[in-house]
This record gives sequence, structure tokens and C-alpha cells, in this order.
Amino acid sequence: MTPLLECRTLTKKYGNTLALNNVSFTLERGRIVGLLGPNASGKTTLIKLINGLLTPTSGEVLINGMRPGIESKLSVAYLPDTMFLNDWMNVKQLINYYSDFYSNFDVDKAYDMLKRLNIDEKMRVKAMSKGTKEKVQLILTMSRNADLYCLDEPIGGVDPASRDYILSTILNNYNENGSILISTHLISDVEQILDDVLMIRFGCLYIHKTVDEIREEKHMSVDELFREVFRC
Amino acid sequence: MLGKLFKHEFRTTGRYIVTLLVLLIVVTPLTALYLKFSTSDVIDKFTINNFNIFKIFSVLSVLVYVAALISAVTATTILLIYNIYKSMVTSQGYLTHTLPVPTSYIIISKGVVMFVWKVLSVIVAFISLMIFTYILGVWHFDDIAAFIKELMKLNLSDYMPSMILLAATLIFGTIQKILMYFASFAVGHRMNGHPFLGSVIAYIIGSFILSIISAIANTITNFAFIYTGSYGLTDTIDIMMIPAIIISIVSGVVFYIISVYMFKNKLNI
Repeated sequence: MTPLLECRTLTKKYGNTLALNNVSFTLERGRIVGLLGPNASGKTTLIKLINGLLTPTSGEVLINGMRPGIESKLSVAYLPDTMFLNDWMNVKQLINYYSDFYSNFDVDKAYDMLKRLNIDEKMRVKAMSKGTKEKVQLILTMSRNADLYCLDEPIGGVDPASRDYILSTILNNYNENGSILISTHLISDVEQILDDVLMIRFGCLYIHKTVDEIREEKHMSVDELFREVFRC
Repeated sequence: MLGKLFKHEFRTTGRYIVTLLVLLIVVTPLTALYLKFSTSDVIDKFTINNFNIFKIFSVLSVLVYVAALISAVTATTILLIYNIYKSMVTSQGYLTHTLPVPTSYIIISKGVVMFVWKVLSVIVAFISLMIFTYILGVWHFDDIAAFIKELMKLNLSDYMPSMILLAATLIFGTIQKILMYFASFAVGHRMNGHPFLGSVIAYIIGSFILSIISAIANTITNFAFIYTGSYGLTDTIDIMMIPAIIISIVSGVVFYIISVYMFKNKLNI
């Protein structure tokens, strides 16, 4: 069976800076994968390459056996680590926008999540707090019945109480036949939901194991392993 | 999908373009009426020691009108270019480029919408100028009737080729410019950390190359004139427009291909 995601000797350079170096791995369906690494380790670069927002210097990315293109864009739901929505739009307009373009966008699910968060559909993005903006972006992304969810630092900018809500939103709303690739350096917060771990160090893939394998082989939690590997 | 892209593009850009055009339409009669009032004899009664506050504000009213007129045409173009930059190359591009639509659709929708707004802004600016000058008494409705009467006396079929060539020059020239903006962003955004600067440099280089090509084409056309004998002024202008149209079409196609290729295969945002 074709893997959901396959990276083959993926390398990305920005000028002379090597952001990703010869990264190869495959990702199966139905997994929640933590993409872990310190700042500037290459996590965002990898996610952008999967979404076709960057062109690899060498190597290739395959989603359902195909290079990033129209089909992959429909099957991958991407949450960037920055604000990417038109700030003049209100929530209702954003939902209409998403449902216009993504045939797998579930409008009812989006409104349900908004209601539970008490976010007014008439509220403009411009008028929202940073946390609310992030929640709206997450709701729009998780309301898609995608094969792969690429979430870049979804809990990076929110308070600890909101983190729990965001993680439960992710867990309760993703397409269970798909997978989630969640990039973060807040490992203790996400560790309990992860199946697999992809750890990136200086642009190279350092570890690709299940959480259980890490615990059995290293006798430590993912968080402890991270702190050991990336100790300054 | 193309229809949906058009719908959202018109909605996104329409907010500020319509505001600018409505502003011009509102400002036109207000400033013209004030100007007419401030230059009338009645206003001289308010002159004290050679100082008349109404006359001073008449200069201001002209400035306001000129600013509104310029912004309707120029600011519209600048805002539309900024919209392309923002939605294609900055963080908003994360959404634009992850939509499940062909890259060509994105460029076509944004390009067509920009073309429509540019044409509309020129039409509105022309209407505004007509209203402004009418209020000031520069022309009257009788003049239009007389102008049409004179026009009817002429054999219009003689001027039709020139009119068509002029229209084609303006239309293809505008389309070429729009596609050049896309190509500049498509090439320039790859300059690491400086996508805007890179786009400006790409635009300058593109303009320079086009100028050289146009100069060569014009020189060849002029030589062709000398060797083929003398023509009237209308013929000369007509023949000058032909290479301009060809250059606009060919370079427009090249810019389109560059834009689609780069945004599809060499994206780096």
C-alpha cells in the first residue's frame, strides 16, 4: 500500500544554509506524529516542503504517491505557524471561503467548534486577539476531512489552559483514517497524544520511532530524551 | 473553481478600489462647485486687505480633486500590485498556494480582476474629469451634440483601423504590464529574505529588456518606412503601433509562462 507521506533524501538549502539534509522517512495512515526539534532545526521547512510551499534542493516528497500538486493540496490540511488569513474577513466569510475551495470541508463541524469556543461568526480577524486568531485557524484546518494534517506549532502561542482545548480539538476532529504531523518544541504538552516521533537535529533526521519504542529502548519519556539530545 | 477565485478576488480587492472610486465621484462635484463659487464675483465682497479666505481654499479644493483623481488611477494600481504581492509571496500565500486549484487559475483570476479594476478606474476618472470641467463651464451639452455632428460628417471607416490598433495597443499593453508584475514577483520572491527587493529588481530588469526590444523594433520599423516610401502621419502612427502590439502579446505570453512555471515549480515562501 502506498504510504500516506514519503520523503526521499530530502534536502533544502537557503543560499549556503542547509536547512534539511538528506531526510528520508515514510508516514503511515492513522498515526499522530510529533515533529520535534529545537528552533531552526528544520521543522517548518519540512512542513512547507510537504505543502509545496518550498521547492526541495534535491530529493522529493510524495503524498499518496504523488508530488505536491492539486490532489495533494486537497488531501493535506495545513496550519502554518503564523497568521495567514485575510484580516478583513470575518469568521463566516472565512468558512464560506474554505467550503468553496475544499470539497472536504465540514461546515457544520466548523460552526460547532466555533460555538463551543464562543467565537462570534461575525467577528473580523482584525479584531481578534492572537489566541482567538490561532483558534480560528485551527478550527478551519481541523474542519477538513483531510488525509494528512500538518500542524506547525499549533500550541506555541497560546496559554497552557488553551493548549488542552486545542489538543482535544485536534484529537476529536481529525479524520481517523488520516494522520497528523504536529510540529512543536513543547513536548510535555503533546507527548500523551503522540504515536510516533520524528526528531530533527541540525536539519538531519535524528530519530524516527514510536513513543513506545523510545520508552522501552531509552527508558525515558520523549520529553526527557529531547532534553538530553538537545542539551545546550 | 475559476469562478470562485474570481468571486473572492473581486471581494478582496473591491473593498478599497470601490471606496477610492466612490470617493472620487463624491469629491468631484463638491470641489468643482466650491471652485466655481470661490472664483465668482460674489466672493470678492469678502476680500479684506487683499486677503480672501475663500480664494485660498479654492487652491486647496483643486489639490483635493487632483489628489482624488490621481489616487483613483495610480493608487488603484499600487493597491492591486500590493494585493498580488501579499497574497502570493507573504504569509497569505500559504493559503493561496495550498488551495486545490491550478496555479494558472490563480494568476488568471488575479490578473483579470486587476485588468477590470484598472479599466474601470480609468473610465471613472474620465467621467469625473468630464463632470468637473462641465461644472466649471469648460464645455456644455451643446458641444457634445456639435462634436457628434462633426464626427458623423467624417468617414469613420477610414479611421477604424487606427482606432482598432489604438485599442489593441492599450489593451495588450495593460495586460502585458499586469503579467509583468506577476513574473517579477514569481522570479523576485526567490531572493532569500528579501522577496520585495528581489521583485523590484526583477521588474527593473524586465523593463530594461523590454525597452531595448521596443527600441530595436521601432528602429527596424523606421528603416522600413524610409525604404518603402513616405506615408501620411496616420499611417506612421499606425505602423508604429503594430510592433508595440506584437511586443506586448509576445512578452505577455512569456511573462505568463514564467509566472506559472515559477509559482508552480520553484515556489519558495
